[in-house]
Amino acid sequence: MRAFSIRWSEHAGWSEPLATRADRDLPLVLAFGPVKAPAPAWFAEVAAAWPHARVVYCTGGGQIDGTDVRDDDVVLTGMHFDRAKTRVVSRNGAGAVPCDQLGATIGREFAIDHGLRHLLVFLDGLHVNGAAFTRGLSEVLPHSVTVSGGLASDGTVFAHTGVGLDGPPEEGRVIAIGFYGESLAIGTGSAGGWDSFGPERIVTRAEGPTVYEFDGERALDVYRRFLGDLVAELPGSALLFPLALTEPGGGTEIVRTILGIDEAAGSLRFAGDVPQGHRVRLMRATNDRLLDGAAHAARQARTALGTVEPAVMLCISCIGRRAVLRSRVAEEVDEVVHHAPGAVVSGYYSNGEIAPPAGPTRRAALLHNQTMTITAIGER
Amino acid sequence: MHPAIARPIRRYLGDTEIPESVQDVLTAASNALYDMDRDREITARTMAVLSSELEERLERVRASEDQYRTLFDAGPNPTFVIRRSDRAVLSWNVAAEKVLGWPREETLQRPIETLGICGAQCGFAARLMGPGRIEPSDVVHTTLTTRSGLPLEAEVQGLDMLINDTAAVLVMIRDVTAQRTAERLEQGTSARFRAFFNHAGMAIQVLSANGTVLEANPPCTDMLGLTPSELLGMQFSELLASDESPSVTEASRDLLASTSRESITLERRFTHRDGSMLWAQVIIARVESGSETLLVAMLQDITERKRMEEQLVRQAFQDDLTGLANRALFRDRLRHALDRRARANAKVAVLLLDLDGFKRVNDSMGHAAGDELIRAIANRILITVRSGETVARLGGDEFAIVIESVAPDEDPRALAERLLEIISAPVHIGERDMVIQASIGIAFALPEEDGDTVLRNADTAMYSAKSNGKQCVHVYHPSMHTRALVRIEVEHELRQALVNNELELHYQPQIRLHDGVVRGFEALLRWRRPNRGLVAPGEFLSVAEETGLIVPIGTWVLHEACRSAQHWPATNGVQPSLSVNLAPCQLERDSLIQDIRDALDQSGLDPRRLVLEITESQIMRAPDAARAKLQAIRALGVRVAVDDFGTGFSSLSQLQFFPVDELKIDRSFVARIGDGDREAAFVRTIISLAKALNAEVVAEGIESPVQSDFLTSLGCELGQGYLYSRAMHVSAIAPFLQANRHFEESPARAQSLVL
Repeated sequence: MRAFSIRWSEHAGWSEPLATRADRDLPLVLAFGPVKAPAPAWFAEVAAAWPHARVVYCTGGGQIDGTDVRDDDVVLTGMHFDRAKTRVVSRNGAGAVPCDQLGATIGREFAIDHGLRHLLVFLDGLHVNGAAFTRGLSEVLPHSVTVSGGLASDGTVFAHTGVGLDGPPEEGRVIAIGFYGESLAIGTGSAGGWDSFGPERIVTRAEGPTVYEFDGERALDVYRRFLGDLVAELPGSALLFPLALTEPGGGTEIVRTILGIDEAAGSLRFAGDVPQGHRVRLMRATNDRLLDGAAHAARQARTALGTVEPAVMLCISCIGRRAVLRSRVAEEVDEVVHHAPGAVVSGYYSNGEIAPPAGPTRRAALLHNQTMTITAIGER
Repeated sequence: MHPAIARPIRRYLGDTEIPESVQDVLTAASNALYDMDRDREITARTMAVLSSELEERLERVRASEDQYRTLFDAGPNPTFVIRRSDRAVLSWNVAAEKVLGWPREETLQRPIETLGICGAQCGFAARLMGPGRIEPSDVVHTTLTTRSGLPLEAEVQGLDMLINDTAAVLVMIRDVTAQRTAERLEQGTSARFRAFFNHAGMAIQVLSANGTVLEANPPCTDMLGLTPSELLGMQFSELLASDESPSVTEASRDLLASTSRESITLERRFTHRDGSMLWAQVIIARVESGSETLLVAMLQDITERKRMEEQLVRQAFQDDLTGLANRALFRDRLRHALDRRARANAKVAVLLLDLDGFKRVNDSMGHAAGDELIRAIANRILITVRSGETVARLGGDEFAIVIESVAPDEDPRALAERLLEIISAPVHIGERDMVIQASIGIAFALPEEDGDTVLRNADTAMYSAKSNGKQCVHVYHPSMHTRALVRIEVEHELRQALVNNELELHYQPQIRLHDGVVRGFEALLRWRRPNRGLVAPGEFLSVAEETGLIVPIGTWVLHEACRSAQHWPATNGVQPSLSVNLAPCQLERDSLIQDIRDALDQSGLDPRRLVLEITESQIMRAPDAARAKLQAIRALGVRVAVDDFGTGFSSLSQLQFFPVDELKIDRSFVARIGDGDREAAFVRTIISLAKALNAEVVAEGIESPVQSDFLTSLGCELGQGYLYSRAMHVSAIAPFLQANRHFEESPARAQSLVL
């Protein structure tokens, strides 16, 4: 397997002449870029360089290229396999079909393929229920197939996100890339680094991902109290306090990121359902804990590959981490590069990450928040 | 630049130019410090917010504590809290102050014993505060002393609790002085009632108006398998089987509300402690006791009676032998299926299955074997039909199946064919493998047809199947009904015929072919049917065989023929022979030999004159049994003829083992003489076979001189047919023989003798 990365920006153009990377046989290009996507001519130029490649464009809240995190650049990662094959499916996820059904439909479409090893999915970050989609997908796929991926993002604006296949990103779209072949070695890692603090609060009024009240108090008011003068930076500043969610009667803790606020209703919208009656606690992280998390995720993904060297370390990191790490955000990417020195490290900051939960036993993929999720891809 | 960097730079470097590479590092460090400052601010604010939140929560806890204090004081019963370690009083409510006479301030932190409310040892405290947790049901009945020295009869209850990690006991006192005094007064009377209550021959419970068991006598606890302490306090509805309780609860409620009724009587199922169900008749009566209304429930165990009732119901609807539905249940199910059909627009079909020749099994192997066979067949039917379809035994060897909803692509004929196949597999009974076959009639219910009609139609179709040679399936068609009616009529009249002597025998002469002399006669059955004239056996024999009438008819034929032949004149000193046909089931009967012997004895006929004719197919049906029977017949001196020879597919090699005196060439072969060489060769083979078996040959159905000449030329000795004579009435025999004698003298004329 061979992989490379190349960058493009509106003001600086290509980071190296595109012709040097032209390749008639290249099958797959992942392009992570800003919400303001390049003009159609740009996509034509890309198609000319790689006439047979499927180009998957996903908007990010910052793009990862090696040890750098860039806001205005499109980071393209080309992958060429010796024996493995890929197949890409694109669907509208904002239609009438519930997201879990859509996930199941796409899953079934892939499940019948022979030799499927991994599914990499990119979903619109605001109009698709990533948790439900992932649940539907996992339910129909064989256990031998792993799933990873992420939700598109627009940073802390929470206005428009999208993904596109061989063209500009579209709102509400979902794209799944199937990886086939015995020669593939794919590993995932996912870790956070957040700690919950303060008293438990009960979600006393909520609908789907929107929470109106904690303990009978307007949810937005609780956040305002903790944010102080950072209220001016809402909704982005709410990312500093994600929510740890526990089902009534105990159970595992799930982390939920804030994706938006409604001043009039005093409500908060999260990146997944926050059911009424659940107990929640606010979460905080220090920079060091987050950086440790990134390193941990890289180690997990790397270890899963065994002796195979990864050609690509695909990093999907939560936009909430960037809000905390700020100027030190590149350090978490440094951790990944450090653990896979020969690999192309690329990725983006997301509204949600999809991967199997970490642990000794293999389990179905879930939607995570506030994690660094890494997919390591190599070929024997 | 962050002040923490800007300050040392100013202090140590002043205006010194800083290289660009160092400048980058300093900028990065400065940014990191700004981020850390922001982090610290957030953390500090978070702490501040948390601390005020916690303060608020604490305030709420304090407020709720006050609420509890108010509740504690408002309680009507003396209540206080004692620390377990030293029995010091921690709380003391207002009621305790009033009833026990001790103000709160004087009790707090004092060991409870020092108050002297129950003597120096304070018995209840010792009881409640021993090792181990206090059970909620622990109630100490004791007499306390108030501060002013008055006795106080009390029930004392304790409750374990933790107050600020300190083990303590909440003590609640109920003043029962007044209640106890009243009880003592009443006790004299109640002791007598108690004795009656305990020894009543019936289970009795006293219930509160809401159904709580207040009292229960020993017969009651015995009946339910519960101890008194388990039973008291339970809800009456808990004693009932769960599906019964709502109806009883409702009935009790109605009774309580009723102004006219004082009791209700119900029969309900109760649950015994061991999980078993028992039936009881319950009389619930409303009783006014002082100011309160109570219910008295009297229970009588009727489990045995109910069990017998259920058994009777089961018996009424179940076939004892097979456990299948019986006719009554079948009719009920069919009726329901037809009702449902109207609603669900489904097609209903009835299959009626009757075993072929079951009577023979019963007759030859006994009823026990017959029963076993019926059971085996019932099982085969059950495993073949879909679950849920009703299979019934209507009686005898008759089974019926209702298909409640025939799917559009489903043909009940397929099921019927499958049943035929499965039933015809050998059944192992006793030491034998038996093969039994069945005939099946199918009828589809037409709209507006009732169950009886459908069943009758299936029955008609089944009879049609039987008369069509059995082991087949017929689907009802209205035309069958007419045919069945004809058969029923025949059966009815045939029974009458036996009684009214309507059966007669006619006799066809058998002629010696080479000289035309009468050798004997074959007895042939005729029925002089009222309004119909003389009827040949083809029209009624199959009915006679199905209905078993063939047995008495066959016996009558044998006796009548022997009796008649005894009176025939001899010709040339030779008595004519008498040939009599045996029906298949006659041959199978154990009593056959005795019947023959009786006929011979009663008529005085010489056994050597009698020839019994058995068809070839009859022999081949059960060769071993047939051989034994034939040998027994011959042992009587009676001769044996094989009738319809050539039609029964018997193998020649088998035939040589049968004791046979005559072979009768079937009329179909004789009729074809002259048609070609093949037929001629066949007749020739039969004749030479008969010679080899040392048997005589009788050709049947000779109608022309050509046939007669041909047979004679092959060495066939005997013949019968229209060429010589039709069958004749017994009264014609003597003249016929007389005439024959004349012709004996000139054999050439014999062939022209046609009567």
